[in-house]
Amino acid sequence: MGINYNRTRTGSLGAAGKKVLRDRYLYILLLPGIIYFILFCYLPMGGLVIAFKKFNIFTGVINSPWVGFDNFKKVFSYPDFWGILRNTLFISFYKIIFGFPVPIILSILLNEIKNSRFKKIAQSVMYLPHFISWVIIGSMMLSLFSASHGVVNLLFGEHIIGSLLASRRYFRSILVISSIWKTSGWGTIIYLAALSQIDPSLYEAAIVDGANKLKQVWYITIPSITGIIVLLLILRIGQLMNAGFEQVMVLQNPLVMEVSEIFDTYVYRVGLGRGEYSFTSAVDFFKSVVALILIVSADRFSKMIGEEGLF
Amino acid sequence: MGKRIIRCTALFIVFSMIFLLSFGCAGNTGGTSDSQNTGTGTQKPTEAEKPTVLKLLVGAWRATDYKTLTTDLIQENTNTILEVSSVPFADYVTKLNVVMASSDYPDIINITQDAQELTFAEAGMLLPLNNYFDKYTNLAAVRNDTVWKAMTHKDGNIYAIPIGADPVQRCLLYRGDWLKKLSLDVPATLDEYYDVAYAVSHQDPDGNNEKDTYAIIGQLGDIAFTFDHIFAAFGVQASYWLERDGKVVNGTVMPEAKEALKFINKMYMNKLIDPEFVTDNPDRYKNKTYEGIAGAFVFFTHVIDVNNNDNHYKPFKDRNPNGEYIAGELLETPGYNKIGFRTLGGRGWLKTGVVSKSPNIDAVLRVLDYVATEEYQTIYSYGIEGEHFTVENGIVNVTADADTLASVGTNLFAIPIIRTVRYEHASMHYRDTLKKWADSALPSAIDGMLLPELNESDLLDSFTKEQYLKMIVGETPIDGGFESFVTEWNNRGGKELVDAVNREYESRKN
Repeated sequence: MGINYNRTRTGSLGAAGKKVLRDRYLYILLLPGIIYFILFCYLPMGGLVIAFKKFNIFTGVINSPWVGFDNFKKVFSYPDFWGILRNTLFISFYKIIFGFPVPIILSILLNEIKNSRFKKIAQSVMYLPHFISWVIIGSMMLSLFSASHGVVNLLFGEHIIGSLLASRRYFRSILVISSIWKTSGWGTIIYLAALSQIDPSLYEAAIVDGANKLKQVWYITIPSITGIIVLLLILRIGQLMNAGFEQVMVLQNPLVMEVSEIFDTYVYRVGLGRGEYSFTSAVDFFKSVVALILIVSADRFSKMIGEEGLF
Repeated sequence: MGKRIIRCTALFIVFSMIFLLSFGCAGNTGGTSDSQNTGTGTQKPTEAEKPTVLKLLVGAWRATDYKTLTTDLIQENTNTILEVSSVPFADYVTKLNVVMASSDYPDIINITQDAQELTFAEAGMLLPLNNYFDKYTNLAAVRNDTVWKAMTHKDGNIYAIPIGADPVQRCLLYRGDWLKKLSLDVPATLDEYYDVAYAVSHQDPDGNNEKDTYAIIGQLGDIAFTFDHIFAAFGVQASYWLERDGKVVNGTVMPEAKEALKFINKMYMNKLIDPEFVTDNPDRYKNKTYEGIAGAFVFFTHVIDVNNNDNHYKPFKDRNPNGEYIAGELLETPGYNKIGFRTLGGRGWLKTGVVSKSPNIDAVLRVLDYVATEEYQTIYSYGIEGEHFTVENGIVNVTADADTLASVGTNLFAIPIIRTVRYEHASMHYRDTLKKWADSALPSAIDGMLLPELNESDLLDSFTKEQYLKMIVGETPIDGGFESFVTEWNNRGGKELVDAVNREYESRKN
């Protein structure tokens, strides 16, 4: 049905307008998503103004008194603030450094499996933890790490009186390891899709040239998915300030607060729990600004080293 | 053909999504307003007789269906329909904040924190109940003058009704069967207590060749209540206000607390305290009390009440037919003046308030007034005489089982203004123990004081809990560690709080 839209009827639209019109059904399909983001992400941003006010839930947003940067001053002078920032950054960094390569390695390994039945089973088993909520995993872990009946404590012997979950030395490691266990399987999906795009003739040429498996992986597989890796890395870095609210909330206990309190759990406890909306809005504002800086920097950096970047 | 399919599919998906989105935005127009029609069948649907729908937001220990006899009684006698939404106590404060910030107010709310009551009252969200006392006399009579005085705010109004629960609900308990088996007496001093605690933890009193018993168990790392008996022996209570030489001090930073911490630390390092007391949630803790693995700990006195069918006594007995708990004595240690346990205070741990913006004030007050009557209180506590309990010589004997009582809805905290009913309880041992520990208890020096500065004290309390726990489990050495904790406590607002409390205390004396 090739109606030609390049006529004077729509001549005033220009080249871009013609493109939109041509693909109009695709844009209409995009519309609900755009409305969703405007309604639930951009409009509520106006509420950030309470970070600059002394918000009283009864007088409302407009009528609460303006206090300028007072809340931010309180935030930076709060004694635990730097500890919370440090915890958030450390936990996130550990999760990225140790957790980011795991799906890549797993997907390369999966890709090499010849027995397709085993491959399918392995994939399904690996995806499963992603679907279990942290609340359930949390209570499984409480039993696993229990001081009196837990398997982990049996292995560790009599060194520690309490549960490992209550020890400041090991808590972050437990957070990172359990998080890797839960999310890596799901992460392999994208990489597997990218790996399946690689032209097999490249491998054949490499074999002819005498490359062994390891060299094939290093010279063909990895460079082919570098684009995806960088893209996902940028997105992941943008998430740096979200260290995993649900997980920390479920596993936290009073003894490890110092090493495990992150922005999100703090805002929940103090903001919603104690009704200090303005103060915690300022905290979250700061967190979002840092996240924005990080994602823009990561994008610039990736463009500098020659990859495509996000925007 | 292909393009046509894409076009139709696209339009269909788009319009259905916008349609669904609009439901999300419409919100409350859907469900709640037509519950008028589900009222009692015998009512004639004239305007004056339609039952009023009242919304309640309450806290609960477990998920409950409020379709019980006690709820029906209220509905029939006050011509209302009660829609109760309950929230677990652990999340109640957050939920209440969220609900009051929205525009969908309930009519009756529970309040667990004094700080919240103060905030809501100052914002004009709570109804001053004293203005209605002459009309609703049962409500006025449900508490005595001392309690009403404790509930009065600076502006002279009363904004909430406190639960009439016993001020002290816990005591020091020992496993009587274990003491007998190990030939031990109930300890009177702290050193004797340590020996008993050591024996019940290490000498396998349950006879199964495993070290699975402890002296003390706890939950959520709570220091309060779990270790009250040890602090009391040294003459202080942690996170509690005490009077010393005419001034008010906080037990947290007193030197006696340091000695108590040392004792507790010694118990912990010798495995007399269940290390999971830091991580256990209330459910696991409750289960452990039913299993009966603790032998010398502070717990609810209800566990020795033979009438306690659903909560503490019966489940324990089911699993330990030969087990029995006996109450101990306050411990003492040379060189210190022992004190009693902390009390829940005249303001109670749970209060009921009325939202001032409710459109159904008359119906709400009718309900509260009816709940305050002795007739209702009796049914609320025990059920119907003859059917669920009998009275002999002024002593109550509960005859119904736990399931029947659950359907009656006894002691369901929907509107928690229960007061002690005039009958003596069947379990005299329970009553006596309750009274003894209540008499020896020490009310807070600032009982009933509503001070805005006190709102900050829960931040200080959670800091205290973290630091105390570190000292108890041995991560921070107590010598030196305690002193730096005190300095930090003062820097974090502790000193200002103590000064503010003392100023208020002075002004009240005059």
